[in-house]
Amino acid sequence: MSAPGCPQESQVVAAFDGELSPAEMLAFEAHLSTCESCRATRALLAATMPRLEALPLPTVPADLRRRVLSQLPEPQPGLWERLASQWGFGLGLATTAAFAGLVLHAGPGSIRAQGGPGEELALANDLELIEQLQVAQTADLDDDDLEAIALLDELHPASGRN
Amino acid sequence: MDRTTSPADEDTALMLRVKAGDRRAFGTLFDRHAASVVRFARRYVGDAARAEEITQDVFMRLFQAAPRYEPSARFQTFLFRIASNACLNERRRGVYRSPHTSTEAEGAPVLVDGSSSGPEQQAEGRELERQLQGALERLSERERLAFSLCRFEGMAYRDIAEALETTEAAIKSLLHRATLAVARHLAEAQSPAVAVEGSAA
Repeated sequence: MSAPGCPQESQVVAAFDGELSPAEMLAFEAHLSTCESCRATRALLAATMPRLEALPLPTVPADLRRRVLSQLPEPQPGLWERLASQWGFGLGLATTAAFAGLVLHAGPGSIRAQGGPGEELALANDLELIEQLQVAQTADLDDDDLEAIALLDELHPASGRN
Repeated sequence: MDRTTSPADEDTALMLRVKAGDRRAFGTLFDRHAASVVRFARRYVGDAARAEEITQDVFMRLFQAAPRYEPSARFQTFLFRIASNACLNERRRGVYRSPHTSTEAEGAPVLVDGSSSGPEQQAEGRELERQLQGALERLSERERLAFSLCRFEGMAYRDIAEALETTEAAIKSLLHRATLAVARHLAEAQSPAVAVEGSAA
């Protein structure tokens, strides 16, 4: 074993682990040729440490994976889900109000808009927008907020967010 | 995944998927690293049940830490930083057994997976595991952590320093002391092995 006073003793383990720089390694190898105690220490490491590497990994208990995965917190809704939820709710209210107004204005038995072709077209656009938004909300989307915002802008350019 | 990517790259890619909310990627990371974390915790606390609890805690923390993960950090370093802190916290709570008071020497070689070796190899593995555990119990907490990260997880000094939040020079010193202590303990234990076996018979 290295003599306690050997100034190079601290290099033995680092050299064994390949943690010395090339220059340090050269110097240490030169030292080894003259230091019997450091050679003995290196031989000790070579005789014992590789045995540890042969020890196998433990078997992970079968229920540990299930326990971990079952306790993961539920994901928080992303920006997309929050925006879509709020916008969907707002659009729903607006459309319901519009429907109510049209029905009351037109009287029972008719849901035709009374304001002419322009209002009918706007109502149809709103209905289509709601349908698209509902489809988008149920789609299996990644949490890419920027994409979600872009899609919302595309669906509803006059939302006032621009 | 691309065949040319290294395991470390794959881990990083998986962790980025976890960061994006992919829970299946987290399951894959668990499958790839749970055994290492169990081993690491087991070698630290010397108790199988506590090691499982620590492992569970480590992976929960890993999941919670995913939003903060940056690919500039090696996943292994990131994981074992969490694992090291979990072990040290366990120690501070004073829950795990003190050295030399467990039933470790009586058997229960949970780290030796005998599924792929014969009875003789299993017996040798159990004996070596017992000797190793005896040596680890004589190390300081940080020596034990550094030793496990180096010898069993194959981490470079630089990465161990990052995981244990210290300097590379400090790790070199810790590993020097720990490695020589373990090597000497194993060498001494090996010499009277025949006598130990004889007395056990």
